[in-house]
Amino acid sequence: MSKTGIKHKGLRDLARNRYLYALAVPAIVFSIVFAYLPMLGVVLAFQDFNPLKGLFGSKWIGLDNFRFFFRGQDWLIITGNTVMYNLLFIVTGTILSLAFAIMLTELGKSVIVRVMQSVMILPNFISWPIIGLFSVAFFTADTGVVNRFLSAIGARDIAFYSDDKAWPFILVLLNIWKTAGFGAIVYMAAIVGIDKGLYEAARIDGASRFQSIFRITLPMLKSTIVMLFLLSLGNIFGGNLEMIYSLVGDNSFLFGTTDTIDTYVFRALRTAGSLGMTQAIALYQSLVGFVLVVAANKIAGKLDKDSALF
Amino acid sequence: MKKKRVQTVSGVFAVSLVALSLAACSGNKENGADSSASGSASPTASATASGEASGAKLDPVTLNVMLWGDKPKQFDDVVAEFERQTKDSLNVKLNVTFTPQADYINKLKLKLSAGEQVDIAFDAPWMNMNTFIAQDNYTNLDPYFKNDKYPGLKKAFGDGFLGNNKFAGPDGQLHTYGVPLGQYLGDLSVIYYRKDLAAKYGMADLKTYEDLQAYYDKVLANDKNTIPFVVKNDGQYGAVTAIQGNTDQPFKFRSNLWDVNLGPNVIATAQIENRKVVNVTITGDSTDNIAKLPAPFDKPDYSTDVAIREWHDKGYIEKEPIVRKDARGTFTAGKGASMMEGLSNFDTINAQLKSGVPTAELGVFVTQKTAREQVQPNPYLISDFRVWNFLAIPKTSANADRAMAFLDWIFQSQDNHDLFELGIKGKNWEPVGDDKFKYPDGVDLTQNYNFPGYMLTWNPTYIRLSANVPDELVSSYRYLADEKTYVKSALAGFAFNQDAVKNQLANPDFTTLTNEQLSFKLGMVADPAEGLAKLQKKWDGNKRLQKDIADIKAELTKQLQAFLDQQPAQ
Repeated sequence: MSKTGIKHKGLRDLARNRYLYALAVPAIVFSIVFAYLPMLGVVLAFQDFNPLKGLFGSKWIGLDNFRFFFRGQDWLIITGNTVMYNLLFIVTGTILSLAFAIMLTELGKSVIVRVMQSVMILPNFISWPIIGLFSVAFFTADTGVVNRFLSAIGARDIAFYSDDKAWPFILVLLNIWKTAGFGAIVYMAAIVGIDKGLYEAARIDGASRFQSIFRITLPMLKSTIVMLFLLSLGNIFGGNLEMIYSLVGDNSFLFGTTDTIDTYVFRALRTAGSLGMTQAIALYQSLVGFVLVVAANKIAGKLDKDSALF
Repeated sequence: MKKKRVQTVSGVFAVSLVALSLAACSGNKENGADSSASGSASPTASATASGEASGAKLDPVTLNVMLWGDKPKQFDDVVAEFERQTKDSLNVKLNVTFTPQADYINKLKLKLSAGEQVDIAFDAPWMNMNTFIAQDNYTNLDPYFKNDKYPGLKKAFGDGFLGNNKFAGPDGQLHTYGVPLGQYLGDLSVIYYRKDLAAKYGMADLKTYEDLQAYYDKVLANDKNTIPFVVKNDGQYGAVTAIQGNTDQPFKFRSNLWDVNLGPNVIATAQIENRKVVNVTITGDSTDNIAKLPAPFDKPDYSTDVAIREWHDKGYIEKEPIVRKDARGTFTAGKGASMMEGLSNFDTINAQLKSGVPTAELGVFVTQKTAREQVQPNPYLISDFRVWNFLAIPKTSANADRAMAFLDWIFQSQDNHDLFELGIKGKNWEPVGDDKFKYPDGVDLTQNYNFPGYMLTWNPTYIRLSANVPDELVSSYRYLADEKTYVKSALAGFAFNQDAVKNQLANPDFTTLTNEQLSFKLGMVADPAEGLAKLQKKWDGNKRLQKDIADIKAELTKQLQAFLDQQPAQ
């Protein structure tokens, strides 16, 4: 058969480059099996799920599962907390990762820089429950390091476990400590990709170090930053369950500023464990994340074509 | 090949993310059809095959058993010994899966929805059992009991015991849906303390509440870095029990008030007079509704919370018990001077303390005054005469008869029973008389077989006490074993069917409310009476919660009255 046999442009392209496309098959199969097939489980959110009857035999109950979350009086505070923390994490994380990445690349490639980089990445590999355990040694009233220090310098003790005001700071600081070093890697890779000729030209023109950072590095990183920001927006309704539950647990004193959708739902359903209700919340979170990503992408595309993801 | 992989991978994901994962569903689809098919072919009625154990040799079968917690040391040895002993009779292999407690129910559900065979599952009304029975997922076990083909079950489970442990099935009738596991109708909470420390302070064994407090004062004065009374962050076995057990308390049942559990974090109190439900309140109820109860229960009583705060101020308990994840570990490591747990854990705690602090000596102080004086009936021990734990057989199991034959074997004789409860005779334990045991000399107790019997073996017929239990405690065990010790609840036999008010019960504020009260139980609030009054106001003003409470109460009243109408006049 000649090439003219296939009318459709896409199909023709597919046939012509079939070996190239074949390379993508494993990834496509992987996505179908692990990302698209599981989406069938979304129906759980609308069912009174019975494990023995399975996904298609369980009773359909419409939106009942979704109502559960909105029954509580604190859902608005909790949604607010969730968004607040994610925004804080995204903004502080981005700024500090960028700063670290630029600092490290500006410092060159000595052994000390390498060591520093490794040390900064290390916290990323410590799990939250472990951080939760040793956070007690820092914050507890009886023997905590922080309070001992405070009383040693004559300051007033802070009751970390009965006063929720300090926790937004603690959580943001811990999040930076844990993720910023690792996040810097992506930006470092992007910085390495910038044409060195630009910097040389700038230097010849008499640009200072700061000027080349703000006039060359940052503008060149813009699309990377926007892309990572868009991707993280998808999780803005995610609740950081592992982190917050490990640090706060069931301490109701701290709920006011630390309770997020995930911890709230986890606590409410821990013993009863309704798969339908948890699925409903997960779906709600994903949908909001999805809408945010699409909307933010549109805006990004309007402002600057290159920055949009799709 | 691929299908199988999908299941395992998704299973791992879902379990690790507790219930929040979407991934688990990929496996469900393919197997939804399978499971319903095998479910309909459930062989409950054909209880013939198993009885022929003595005759023709049975086909080998592997039973999948789901238990929770960590796998006990040397468990495989015990299973191997079991399989060796029963090769010619039962001819079953055991595949026991131990799952961490937090993941257990989700894993069970996932296994069942993925169409995996589960032949025996540990479950209980405080977990998932009521839901699964209502959904018709557990096999009705009536045919196996009082059946000559299952002599062990017949011997160990008498009429009364079975009768108290039935559940209302989907048909509305009472059936046995789980093999009931339990030794006593209750457990005695005791305060484990350090006898060696008491001796160091020149004190004799603790006998009274005053002794206990004097002991705490001495600990504070002499050992600054030791916590007098270690309390765990969930408030269980905490200062509440210690204080209420030793101060004058009004008892609800004397005013015809009975508590009943409706679900996690929701407890109801029903006032029942002449077999009529007069009044019902539940967790989080409004001040106005509480006022309808008879005095002194018509007003909130904050005295216990105030007393707990005093313990906090004196330093008896830690300032922030909310961060104490492991009370027993803290105590047995020598960092605490006392902690509370059930009497049945004496041996384990003793062993752990000895390995943590070799010079330590474990003392036992029975927490409640009435229990120390062995008052009968003990007003603190209200019982519905039901056990807490069960073994159920999912309807999808193709081996129900063989599974029951295995359980029958355990309860056939003391020897069979002891193999799973205590391990291999001579190696893990040695008999002392007919009803006691000891560990052989030189056995490392931290490495020895130590099976939590409440999941498989506990039964009032086969109790072996440790020979280590001090003589003065033996009488406590006897007291515990005596039915006269317990106040029988007027609601014994009643099980609330959550279905009609499932959504109301799922109001997350019930959990929040429980957590809010927790801080008071742990003594972390400066002015408890004021704080609790403020909380009460908050709940009063929570309209949606009060609406849900009203709905639940209406349903409960309906079910309770129906239950009481069925009860024969007494």
